[in-house]
Amino acid sequence: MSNLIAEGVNVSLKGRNILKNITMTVQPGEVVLVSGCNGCGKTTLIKTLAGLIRPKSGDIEICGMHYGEKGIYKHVGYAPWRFGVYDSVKVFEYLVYYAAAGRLTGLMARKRIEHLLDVFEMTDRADDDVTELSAGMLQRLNIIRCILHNPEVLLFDEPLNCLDTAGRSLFSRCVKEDAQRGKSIVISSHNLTQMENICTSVCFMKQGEIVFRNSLDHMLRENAGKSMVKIVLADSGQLQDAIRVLRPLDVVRTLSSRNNEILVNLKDSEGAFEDMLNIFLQHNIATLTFARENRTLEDIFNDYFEV
Amino acid sequence: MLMTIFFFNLVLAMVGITSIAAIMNRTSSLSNMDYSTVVRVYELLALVDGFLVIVMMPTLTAGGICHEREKNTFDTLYVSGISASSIIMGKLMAALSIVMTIVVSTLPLLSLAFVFGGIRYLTLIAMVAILFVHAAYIGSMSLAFSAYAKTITFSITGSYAAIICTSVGTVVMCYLFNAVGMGFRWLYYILLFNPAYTLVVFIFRQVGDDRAVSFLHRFCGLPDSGFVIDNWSAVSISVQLIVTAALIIIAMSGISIYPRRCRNK
Repeated sequence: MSNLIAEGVNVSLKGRNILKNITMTVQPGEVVLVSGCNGCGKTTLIKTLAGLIRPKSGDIEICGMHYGEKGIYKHVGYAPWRFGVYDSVKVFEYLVYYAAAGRLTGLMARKRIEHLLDVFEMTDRADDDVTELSAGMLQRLNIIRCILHNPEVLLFDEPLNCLDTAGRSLFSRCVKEDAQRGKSIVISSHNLTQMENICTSVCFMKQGEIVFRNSLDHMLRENAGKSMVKIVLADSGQLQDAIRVLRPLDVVRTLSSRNNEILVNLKDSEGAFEDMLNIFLQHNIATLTFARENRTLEDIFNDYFEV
Repeated sequence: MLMTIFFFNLVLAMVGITSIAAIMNRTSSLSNMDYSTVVRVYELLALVDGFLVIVMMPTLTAGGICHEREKNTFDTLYVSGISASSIIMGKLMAALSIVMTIVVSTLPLLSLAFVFGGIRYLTLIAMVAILFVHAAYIGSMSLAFSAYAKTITFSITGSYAAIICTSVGTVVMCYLFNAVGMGFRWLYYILLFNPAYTLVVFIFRQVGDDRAVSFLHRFCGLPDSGFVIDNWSAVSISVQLIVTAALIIIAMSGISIYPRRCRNK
């Protein structure tokens, strides 16, 4: 049974249709990355799934419950991209408060908080005032608060904001462990490179609609070695010649170069790779490397949205 | 908080001690004692307490919800699992606890009236109880504004405007209607919603000053007798409690995103 089901969800704010006919299911153990251009409705989607925005039409089901039913929020963890904290509250007290709100009290709450502070390397900050924390530490606190009461559905909106490399690594590990435990996780993020290591399926949004949804493995396999070519020239003096030769080609979508390296993004076309190689040979442009490059999620995103 | 209690009691003490000193001075110069002036000290101090409740409660409750929204803490609070009723009642009880702590801290000063007698301890307990009801009434009004207001400024302004209309506006309206001889007797019973009027009537009745109560009623166009007039405090408190409950429900509706539904089995 899916932990999260959204069917035909339409959201309208101030007369504008922000989300149009959103239908998605997230299975236990699935980590869905929601991405898209600015203003496409990612944050609105996350907030709607968290029960903070009531859709104009459609239905959302979390672990078999609907919003409005008593006790649904114990199944939902939400980490917004922008959040405030209360004044004059210590980190530990802050977490105790939210643990109690999620019906986690006493020794169990204490142990859970201590464990999560340790996981996110914040044990030494437990007695600090929350207003004194840096942006990165606040984001770690945000994540801890989201997962504190062990909900089945986790909703993260730009969780990697302000996190350093260590923080991102900790988040990544935490999400993978939670997915293994059967939680359903939805993450909205622009950081596709980092998310590629975390998510199991990808969802692209455009103007309030889900325009693409597929498992990550399937996407990367389909696009493996396709349409990206890396060329390393033997003589960096031939760089301009190489670019001059490549640029007019119809099969070339984009071209970037650095020193003696050229990265070519090809349009999907039969024989494009071979045609390009032949042109290089005709113009006597010597290369050290002329190979297909594995496409990343970011490359696929850029292609899809023609960035 | 401690400083607030200290300064408020300091002001109240200055008022009380000055009044007692004036009474003693008058007594020594006239060689006789008018014991009714002693209860005036109690009236004055009780009314100052009442004024405190009316002024402080909106300050403590008007920002309850909209301040959370402005600080971006409301979303995380809402998704934490705390119900709308718990949020509203929590904000109200927190404000009530602060105000009532200050009111209770003034009881020793109000007990100055015991020096010369005329006031019983049950009088003080009844006064505290009625102030609690008024505090809840005003607090619920402010919370209702807070639940719907977009900014804290609007919420505070709206709350104080509502309280001024209820506490002062109703008296002015009734006086004017009475002065121009407007009909509809039932219109004057709008004063049942006025916490300040109810408190004044209650305090005057407590000290046995029925003449002052009658004067007030006539001033505002109310009849001299009748079930409601004879039991003004009880009826008014009941009305205000009902309105408090309604306002709390309105405030809860203001922050609820989904209507309450039963789980489909």
